[in-house]
Amino acid sequence: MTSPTTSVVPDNSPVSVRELAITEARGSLRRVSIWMGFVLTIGILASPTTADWPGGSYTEKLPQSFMPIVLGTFIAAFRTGRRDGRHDVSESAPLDANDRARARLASIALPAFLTLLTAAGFAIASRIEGGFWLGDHPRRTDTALHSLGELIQLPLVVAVVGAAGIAVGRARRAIPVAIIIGAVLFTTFPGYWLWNIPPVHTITPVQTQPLRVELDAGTDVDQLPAEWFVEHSNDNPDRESDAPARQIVHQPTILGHNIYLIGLFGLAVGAAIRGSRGRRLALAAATIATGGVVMQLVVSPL
Amino acid sequence: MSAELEFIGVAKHFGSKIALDGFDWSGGSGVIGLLGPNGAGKTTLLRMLATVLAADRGTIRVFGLDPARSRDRLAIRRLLGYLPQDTGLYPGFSGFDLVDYVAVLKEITDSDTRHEEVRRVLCAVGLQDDMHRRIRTLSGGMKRRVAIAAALVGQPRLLVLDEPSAGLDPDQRLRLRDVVSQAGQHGTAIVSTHQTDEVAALCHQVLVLDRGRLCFAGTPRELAALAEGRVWVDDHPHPGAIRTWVTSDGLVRSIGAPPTGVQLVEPTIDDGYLFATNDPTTDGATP
Repeated sequence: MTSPTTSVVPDNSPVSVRELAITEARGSLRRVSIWMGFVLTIGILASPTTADWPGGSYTEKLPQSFMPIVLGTFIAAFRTGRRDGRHDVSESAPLDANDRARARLASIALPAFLTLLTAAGFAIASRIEGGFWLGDHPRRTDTALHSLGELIQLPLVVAVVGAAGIAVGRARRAIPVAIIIGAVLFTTFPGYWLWNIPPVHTITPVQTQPLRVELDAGTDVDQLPAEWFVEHSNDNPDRESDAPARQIVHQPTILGHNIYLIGLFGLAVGAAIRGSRGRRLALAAATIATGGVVMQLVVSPL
Repeated sequence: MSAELEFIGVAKHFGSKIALDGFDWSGGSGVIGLLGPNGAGKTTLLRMLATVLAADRGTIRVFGLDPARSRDRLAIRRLLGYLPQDTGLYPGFSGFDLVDYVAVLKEITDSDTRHEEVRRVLCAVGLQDDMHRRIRTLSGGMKRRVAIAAALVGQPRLLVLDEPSAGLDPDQRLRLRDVVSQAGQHGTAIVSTHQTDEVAALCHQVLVLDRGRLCFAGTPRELAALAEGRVWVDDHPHPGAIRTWVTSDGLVRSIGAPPTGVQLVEPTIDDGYLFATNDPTTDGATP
């Protein structure tokens, strides 16, 4: 018997997992859905926003632009997670299913990086162009810029849906579950305003800012602090009363939401890799996600 | 010393369907042919050997290792090359990428060594000129050869091939024989097939399954010998024959209980297979 060329490796070899991770990361370069999502995202970002109420352009820009890459990532990750379901060869390989799933998480790196790059490009471009409109005259600005906390949630969301795609790809009834999640993602981002109602805004995939804090009906706008952006023109279709509302980009709430997304990512990774390690991770991640939600509920001015 | 492959009372059910029913056999080394009608349990047996399916009952040993134990299962997988019946190749991959992917799953971690090995196995199946073509653009036979190459990667000690010659042209089937016989010289190759000529040409041992049970185990010559004295030629058909056809030289070749005065001929593996799997109560044969 000729000696096999297979390297001698211990169980669950990190070298083997790393090698598969590199292969999967490289394989994600061939995923059409990621590149289509990327191109569409840039296209929507580059096109002018049609929202014509105070805060509309600021609010709409991120969820509407990044929906394609989020959806493209989910489709690509689902297909990667589903590799094992195609044939028995993977099942008969020494690298076990949980290790394979762990390595496949590396395929999220490309879309997460592309999203980070796009978010950074958007931040630079909007600073060059001048920024967005918040509030009504005299408490209005046309130079509002999305904060780091708001921008960082975009690659975080991509990482969450990527890990979820891999987890769903391993599920027994993967296709119906994937269709449901895909449909939810497809409708959630354009319908972001449905998620802006408290307390749902704490668990939305992308938390849109500014938060709108209703003021008393008789508030004298001129008496409010000078740095507040206040809408009172009734141009905003989301307004439920004639009372003015303060538009506030609330960093503590954004921070809580990003903690929640980190927890969700851990939860999806735990679901993807399964086993005792996956369960431990999912438990810790669920705690973090819950902590993020609680933090938002505590600090949110809504 | 224990046999390389050992099955003791192995049973497997899929719902109410019995796929394997108390399968007992031990042996190994060289090329082992697996014959049987559709639904006989061949694929189930091979999937168990490839550690992707667990037995409901009974014991399996592969090189003395028990696939029911996770550590042993891992050790078996490190010695295994498997071609499933349904290859399920990724259409967007090239042949090279697909085999390379399987090589990574087989823990060949050094990329230079791995790429060299991938090229070796793809050349062995005659895909040296097409290894970088997308799988979706390959013919059915070429796809099959990509899957065979994936099974060969890492020079496995145990090669499990489920209908490897399906869709291959005669030239490629001969090339496959070369590849499988080499694997049999260095270890054990177990091949499920419907091609009895392949069994005659390649296999040191042959197993015949029917309805989840082992009907025959022996050499191809012994299988053919089951029909010894029951195959004859004449110029007309006889009612006692269970199978009859007119040969290319115009004679009527029959299998069954020969009438007196006919010319008996040398049986083939096909004839023996018929007696191994045929139920004499339904066809009148008396194996």
